[in-house]
Amino acid sequence: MLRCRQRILGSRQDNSSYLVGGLTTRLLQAREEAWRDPVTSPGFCPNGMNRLSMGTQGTRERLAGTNRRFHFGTEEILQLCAAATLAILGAVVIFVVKGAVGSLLSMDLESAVIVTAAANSLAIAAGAVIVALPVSLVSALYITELAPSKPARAIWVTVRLMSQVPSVVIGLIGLVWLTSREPSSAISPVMAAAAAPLLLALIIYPRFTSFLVEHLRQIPASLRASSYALGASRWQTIAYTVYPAARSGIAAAGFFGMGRAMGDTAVVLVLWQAFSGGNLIQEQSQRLFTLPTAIAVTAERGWHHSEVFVMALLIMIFSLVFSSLGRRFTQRHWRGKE
Amino acid sequence: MRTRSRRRLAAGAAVYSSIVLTTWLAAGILLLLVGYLVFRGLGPLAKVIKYGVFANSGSALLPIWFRTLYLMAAAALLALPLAMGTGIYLSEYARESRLNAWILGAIDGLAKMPPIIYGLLGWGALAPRLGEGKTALIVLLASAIWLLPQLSTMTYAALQDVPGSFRRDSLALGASRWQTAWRVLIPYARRTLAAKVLEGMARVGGEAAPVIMIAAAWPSSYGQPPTTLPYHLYSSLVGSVGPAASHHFGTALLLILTSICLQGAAVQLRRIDNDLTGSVRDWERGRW
Repeated sequence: MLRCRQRILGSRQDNSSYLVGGLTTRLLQAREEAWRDPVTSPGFCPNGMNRLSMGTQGTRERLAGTNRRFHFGTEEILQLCAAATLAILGAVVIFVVKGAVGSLLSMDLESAVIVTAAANSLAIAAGAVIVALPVSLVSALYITELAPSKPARAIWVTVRLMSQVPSVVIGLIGLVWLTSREPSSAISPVMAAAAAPLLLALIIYPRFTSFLVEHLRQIPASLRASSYALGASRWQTIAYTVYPAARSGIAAAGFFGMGRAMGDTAVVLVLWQAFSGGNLIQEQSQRLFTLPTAIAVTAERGWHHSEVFVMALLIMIFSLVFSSLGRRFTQRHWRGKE
Repeated sequence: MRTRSRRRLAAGAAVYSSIVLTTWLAAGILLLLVGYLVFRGLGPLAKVIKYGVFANSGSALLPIWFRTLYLMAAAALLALPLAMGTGIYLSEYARESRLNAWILGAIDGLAKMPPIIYGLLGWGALAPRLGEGKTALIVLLASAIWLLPQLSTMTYAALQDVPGSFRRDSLALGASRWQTAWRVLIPYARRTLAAKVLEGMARVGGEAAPVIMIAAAWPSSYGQPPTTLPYHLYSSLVGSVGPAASHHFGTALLLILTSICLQGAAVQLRRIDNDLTGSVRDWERGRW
């Protein structure tokens, strides 16, 4: 045991360098104590996650007594992996941003097309979320709170199985449903515009539901137990305990779903191709000209290359904003998970 | 008093039955969709899978399906080592700092990026550099790059889900961090990891957008574009005049069955995690 402790703490006995800085005395004391006995000391942990991993050797400590300048071990290999991943992803971002800046500087953009495409994207995604979110909230509540275990499992498995349905298939279904009675040129523009959010809702409903079920399951049973112990009925428990506890998850699901629905290409693209017959002015397809559709169609027909990158940058920004908003709402995690 | 309680009971019954109805309706639509595809597509699929449309062997589904499966597996194999290394490093080695949080946020944001961005990468960056005709390679690379952030965050999340006591006990026994990560944490998270990899593969195999973009990089005179199953469905839908033909349903059925099988394997792998009765006791379920 002593050897373990020495191994874990050995390299950090001299922690005087950590005592410099604008920290308050109390924090310093807590930290001092944490270094001395990481297992029993309460509070402050410099490493955040787990107190014991902070003492293990890093590269700097390994090289401290030697005259080597580099150390190449597992940590360095993993570091290289992380660096390579970051480099690849950075290259993706730089590629899009560079293209967008280049075409913004060249000034021959048709900004009207870009703005309408962005507005259409937002509208369709918002419509899909508005349709799908309440339904999947109800389903999630039914699965976690209300249903007997067999129906709950049946719905859960259905939802899980359908959560990666290829969107082209949904596009095909939508096309068949819309054009089964009349040819695509005879369909009213309203119907054509309303179909896209409904089909997207079909795609994001299983994802919403599984996300919300995961979230509801994180809520500790002690909250529900306390509610029951205070004499609340099941409905009161759901309405006043479970729902408020799940609100952040619902908001997060909404934002993630917005991002997912905005980025979905194939459904809207298939509908757009069917309705437009290849031109932009066709009335039924105007509302379906979303950002991904525009990117794909522009690339396919080689119309204006300069706009592609600007639209890609826009969709990246939207998706980043939505995912970071969603992540902000999922930050809360329950302590003492049961 | 009595009427009031009766009224509340009636209200409760109404709400309960509407919840049940909504849920089963939504799940029923999903099931109906699969049923409809089976109904319309099973016959054509049996024909088209081998001989193609009108005995046109270029549209036979079997080679396209194999190519799609190959693409999924190869992309996952390409991305997995790097992604696991990244996830392990970020979870187990990197100090918790603001920079680390930023990096994690960035990778997560890129994992949620729409697939068309990765198609754009293949169309605008990979295609001009790698040269004509190497479309299969470009699709593979773009898919692997798309999977990379997904699998990284997935590894990170799976490692973070391992209870801290595993880490602590392993370190207390004198194991190094790598030994802890590789022999303790990864085996614990194995099922979740495998399930997430399968989900990622299903996503890559079902998405048409990157292939649509990459196929657009060259005019079709340069030969056949690299057809995967979703792209095949898309292009034959767009190319055909008039309503959807029966072979479209065959393709769609094959596509949806592939995705359902992968998801089913994932669900089966995570069976232990999928304990739905965790929060509410079993005898409480179904009562209201």
